[in-house]
Amino acid sequence: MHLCHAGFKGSQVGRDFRMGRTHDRTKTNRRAAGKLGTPAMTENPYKTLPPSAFWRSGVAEAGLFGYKNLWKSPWTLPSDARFSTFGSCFAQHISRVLVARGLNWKNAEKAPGLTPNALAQKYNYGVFTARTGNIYTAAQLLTWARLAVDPSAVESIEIWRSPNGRFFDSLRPVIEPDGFESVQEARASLATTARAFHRSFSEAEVFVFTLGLTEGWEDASTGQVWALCPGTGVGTYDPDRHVFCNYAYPRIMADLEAAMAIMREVNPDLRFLLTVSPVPLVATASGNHVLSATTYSKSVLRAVAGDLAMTRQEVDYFPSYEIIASPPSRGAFFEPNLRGIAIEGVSLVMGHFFAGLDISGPPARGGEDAAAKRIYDSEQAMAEDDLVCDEIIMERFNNA
Amino acid sequence: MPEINPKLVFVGDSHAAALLAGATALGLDADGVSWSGSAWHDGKFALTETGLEPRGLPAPLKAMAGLRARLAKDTETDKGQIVVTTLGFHLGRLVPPFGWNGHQAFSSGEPRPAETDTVSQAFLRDYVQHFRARHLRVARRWSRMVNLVIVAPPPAFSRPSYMAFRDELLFLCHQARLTVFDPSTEFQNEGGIVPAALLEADGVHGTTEYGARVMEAMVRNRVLDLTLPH
Repeated sequence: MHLCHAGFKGSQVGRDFRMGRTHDRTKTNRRAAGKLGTPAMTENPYKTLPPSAFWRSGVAEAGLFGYKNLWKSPWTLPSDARFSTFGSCFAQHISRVLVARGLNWKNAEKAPGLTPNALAQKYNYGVFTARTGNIYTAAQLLTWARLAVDPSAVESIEIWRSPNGRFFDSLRPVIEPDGFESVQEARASLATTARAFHRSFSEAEVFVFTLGLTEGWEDASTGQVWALCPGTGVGTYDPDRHVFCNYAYPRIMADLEAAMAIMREVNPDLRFLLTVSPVPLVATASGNHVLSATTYSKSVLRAVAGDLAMTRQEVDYFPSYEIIASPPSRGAFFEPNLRGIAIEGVSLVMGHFFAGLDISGPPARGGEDAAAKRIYDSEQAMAEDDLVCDEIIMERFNNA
Repeated sequence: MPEINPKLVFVGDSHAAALLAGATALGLDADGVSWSGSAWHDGKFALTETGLEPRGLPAPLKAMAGLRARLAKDTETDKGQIVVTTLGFHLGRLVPPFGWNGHQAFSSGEPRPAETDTVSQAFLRDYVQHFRARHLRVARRWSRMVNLVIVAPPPAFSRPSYMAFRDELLFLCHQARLTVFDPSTEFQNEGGIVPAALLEADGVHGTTEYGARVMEAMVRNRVLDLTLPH
């Protein structure tokens, strides 16, 4: 089996190697045709290509900070488009910059009203659209999508009990700084986040997902995916139960397609913007050198994301990985540990994101903001309570 | 029990009114000053060497001066002076914003209904401490100046989150070694909720009868070292 990308002669309807399904390659061919022009009018198809199609003019001469047209959104989004963001740790930058730029970042699981910023950060509110913590793998994303449409399924998520009697849920082992006080509390919190995750795709126009890893861990008996290997921080590693999985292309593709199908079932207009985190693996359990494992992992993720973007109208790929980790950057944006990404790199990535984003469409929504009305009503009620309190004080206390 | 009761001083928010009225109805020598719960919530008070004072509130400042004149001393900081206060609770300002984004708080161990967005007990404690750390700090210092008794507000209803915040504040008061009385213990036979007959029309504030019952309960439970007049 191999995937034959539609090129100059791609058939309009191709055979999908993955599931034996057919899929429309119109999008691929349209893009190819747009880039290549009409061969009959030129000596060869490259003659009419823009500078960005050539390494010399597009990269070498342009320089790291001079790339032009690195990414162009295929969608004209409404001016009030809501962006949900999830994924590995690099995805945390995206939400911050969207907020800083005044775009409509969807916060589906806000901290309780008037929570100070330091407290919200301590409990990981406002990092991703819902309080999922990092979602490193496509398998984790699928788990969250399934929980979102059936929050009662949180009962199947394993809760760890630490030696000091605190509890940690295996999907978000570091979401609470000191864990939960009971299994019941942990599950209630998971269900709260599952509902928020549902809002993250039912009440958004764009679902931005940053693919982080191919390596993950599963429970051999239940098949439940784990966010982190048990024993690395919380939990106890059991070699008979905890199975290492280096997810390959077919499984990642299948999990992503399944997750997207669940979300599109709820919100048929939802679009997906995929990115690949340029942050290398902190460690590999594959048996390979971590450098090789990182290259494998990122290559597979990049290939899956690219193929989905080429074959699906509702999916696009944004090249954050290329900006940071490709040879022209010479590793300049990595912190001294060669993993963390310097803020200058994040700025460059997001600069390209905003340069290519098209939110020139008319606003999709209008009318009353339900959240704002709820707060206004609450403020009014508190003001009325104050009046009652003042009357009681005047009547009984301060007449002396 | 003292043969002659000292004068009771009430300083607090609007919930102190019922306690003062109840004390007076019981024949106790009582006086006090109060200002709104929102000002307490916002921290418009300070502890000086002469006692607790409102800040930036002209009418309560004047009332405090009047109280001190009636007490015939410049300060209410006599070591034996009993001061009953509602300092630190002010739930009407603390609880509603917590629910602005759809959250409900639950007391530790209380069942959490499905479909209810909630937070952990640890978060709730941090949230309450953020808004009440100064109140508790002042209360601890104040309790070294006078015989301070903190009284929680009437458990008047079972609205979401109120009981959890109440319980959390009671815990923090106990943890700070403050003398605190929870009126819900007096209403255990009524489901822990104050009967409607003991509430004002707003359903939130206690009546004089409520205040008297709570004062009696505090004496009975030795929270207040007093002898009730017959």
